[in-house]
Amino acid sequence: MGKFILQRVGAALAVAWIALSAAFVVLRALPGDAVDATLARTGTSPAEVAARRQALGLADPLWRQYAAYLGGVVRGDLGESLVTGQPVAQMIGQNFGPTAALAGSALLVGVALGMALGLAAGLAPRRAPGWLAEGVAALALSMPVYWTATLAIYLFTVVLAVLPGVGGGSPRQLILPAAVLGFHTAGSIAQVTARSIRRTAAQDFVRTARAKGLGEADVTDHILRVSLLPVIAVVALQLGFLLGGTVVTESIFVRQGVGRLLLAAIDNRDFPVIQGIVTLTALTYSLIHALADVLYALADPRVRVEG
Amino acid sequence: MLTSASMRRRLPVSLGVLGVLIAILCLAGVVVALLALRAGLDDKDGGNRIVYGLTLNPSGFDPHIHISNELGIPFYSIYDTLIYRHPQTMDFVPGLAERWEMAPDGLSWTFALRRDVTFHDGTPFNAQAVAANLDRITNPELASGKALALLGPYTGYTVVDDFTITLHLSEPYAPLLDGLSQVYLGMASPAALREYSKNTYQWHQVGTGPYRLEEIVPGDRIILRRNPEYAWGPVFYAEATDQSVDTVEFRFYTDPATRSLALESDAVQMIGELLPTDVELLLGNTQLRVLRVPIPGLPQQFFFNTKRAPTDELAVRQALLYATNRTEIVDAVFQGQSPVAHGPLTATTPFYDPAVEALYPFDPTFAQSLLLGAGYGDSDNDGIWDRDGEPLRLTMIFPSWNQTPEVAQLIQSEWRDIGIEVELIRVPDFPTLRSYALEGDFHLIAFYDFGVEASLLNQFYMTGGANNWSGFSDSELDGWLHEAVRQVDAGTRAALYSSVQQRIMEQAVVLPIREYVNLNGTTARLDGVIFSAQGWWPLLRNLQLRP
Repeated sequence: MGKFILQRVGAALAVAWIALSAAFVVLRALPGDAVDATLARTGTSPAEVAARRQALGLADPLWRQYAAYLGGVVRGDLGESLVTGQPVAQMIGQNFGPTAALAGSALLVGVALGMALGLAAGLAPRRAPGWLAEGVAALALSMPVYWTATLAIYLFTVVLAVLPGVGGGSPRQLILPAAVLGFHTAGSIAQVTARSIRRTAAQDFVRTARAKGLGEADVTDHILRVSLLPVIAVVALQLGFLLGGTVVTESIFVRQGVGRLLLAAIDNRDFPVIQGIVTLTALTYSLIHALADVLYALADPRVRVEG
Repeated sequence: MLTSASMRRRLPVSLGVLGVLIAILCLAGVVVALLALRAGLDDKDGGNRIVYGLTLNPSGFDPHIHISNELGIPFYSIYDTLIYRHPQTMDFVPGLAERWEMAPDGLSWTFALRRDVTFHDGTPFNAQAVAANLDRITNPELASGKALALLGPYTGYTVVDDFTITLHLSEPYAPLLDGLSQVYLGMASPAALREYSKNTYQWHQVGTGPYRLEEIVPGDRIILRRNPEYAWGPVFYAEATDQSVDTVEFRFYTDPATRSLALESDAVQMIGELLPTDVELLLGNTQLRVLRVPIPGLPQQFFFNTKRAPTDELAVRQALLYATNRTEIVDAVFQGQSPVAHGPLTATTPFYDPAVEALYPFDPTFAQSLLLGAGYGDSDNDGIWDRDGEPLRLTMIFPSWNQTPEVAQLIQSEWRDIGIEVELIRVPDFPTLRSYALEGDFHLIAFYDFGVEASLLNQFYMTGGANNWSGFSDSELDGWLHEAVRQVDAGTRAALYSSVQQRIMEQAVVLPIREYVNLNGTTARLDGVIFSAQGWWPLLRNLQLRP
């Protein structure tokens, strides 16, 4: 088991390194840099623009910039924002809490709602609760977050006026974004749960159980035990969706967070900030996956690989 | 015996129904919670406090370093400037400087400073404080984006006495006073500048203005509190009353669609840059007000690429101007909330010349006759005009903000009617826009900037100007633009800028669309909503919140 965990953590680090390098290369392939986004806009002379670029190290050869950046990351230094001069780690730190709160509560909503819908759709197919659950799950999957969010804001803060208007800060202002993001997370959890239940229900051992004369209640019991396992994996996968979803949700709901920080950094071509966020996101995501793998292995010994 | 086994076995049945039950329970819980929340919504704490919605997250907050117009919305009230521009007359009025005088040779300006001013941290304001600010702004390590540029040919200062300072220039520079009236040259406490580094001062800004900076959380909020000591405001600042706003909390509503919703739900009491399409609806709400604030400077416009065929031909550019129905565009896209633009400056900008309004009325027939004269025609009858086998195809580059994509689409359809094909390229951000401009890979490109001082034109229209994306070059125009910056006499400048505006339009360098208007929404309880001469920055001092 120890070796298994070590393998997974190693893989997570490798993924983070690949994400960092990809971000580094892709960003530099985009037109423009932080100097174009800020200084050059005000009609500053080309000579001054060039001097500023030199001072920020943006004129160095790419390999040197990469080596310097990677060296810093290994020492735990994510660099400084090219625009505000603030340390990147500090910027992410300031914004991490609100994003974690949003993603965490959205995940809770998503798992609860998704499992409920999935159970209804899987256990009561071709009946009213099943149809309803499938319909809701399909809506959650097909509507863009942007649209649901705007609709929810209009409905709950303007028409019904039961929730405070959008903004950050108060815990009550977390309700709407968490519900919207959670609703969309629920879609795929519900579909995987329902599909897994149906697949299990079609298996031989279920037919055997029925042939044996086992009551429908006991059959369901057997089905659920087997079919809920894949849901762990899908919940971990949803974290990827959540991390992306927070970018849009934070903007619409006027919340502080890593997602908005990332959007602003992209507009300003603030390379160190973007790279820092991408690296940390990749690391978080792959570590959570490693954790899910371990949990999965604990829950189902068949998964544990030999060697 | 029987109980435990059958209980365990019966569990799955309830699990099956459980899904539906959980869903119902969730719904019930939500409804109860909503009702409880609704009851709790009304007991808001009193006090004169407003939330002000900003529309973009400034890339930085230090006015001496950073460039955004948005940062002035909070910080115009944190700082005082040596000179102010009167919002109504656009004239210069005393700020921290009581009087000022230009030397006869135009190479120095002497400012007599107020003696009764203290910074928020208690530091007295004097000539040494002004000197400390100038030292900071001109320090190359600060990498000032705008403040330094506003000083123009500034070379240094002389502290004459404790309350008199002289600024020296290498050549006469009329726009200096305008620069000194902008938030970017706001006077910061020398003690605070010493205490904090170039990067950390922005979180601890200290000025002399009517509001103090209480808190900045980047990406989340900026909180200002009224300065009770403030008694040295310019003539257009109101006296403080019981209804003055004590606390202003700024939040960032970067998504345009949510701005009117935030206003309607009372999450904000004041917000800028409403969508024109939302205004009609908001006007029907008696709890709210909408103010149209014209922004001086360049209009929302497209530059022609005068270096690339076919827009390098005057006749083609003129034809395109005649072929554009600007009134239709302004009505459709901006719901008639903005004036149509006719020239390189907007009508509220000092030295605007209304003579440009008579040029280029919408006349597609005349546009086609100009193209005919230039040798174009539809030789292959495919609806697209051509010349020497080359179809008349243009590329238009524009950003995604300020409804520019909708404007571009309308232009595309208007021009198609007279046989011109336009390829639309929408870019996500400024660096991408700029890269198209630098490569010259376009026929039309959307670009504009704001400012009260007509010398703003220089960077866009002078030969080799830093933002001369049209590639236009006219030595006579260069001469006028240069001279207008050196001349202080308003009459002389007005005559020069008249020639400038007419020449730019005669040469059809630019396709103006609409004058920029900031659509601000406020609660109807808020009075005294006035903006600075620059248009963007509210005078928080004058706001009055009725209970």
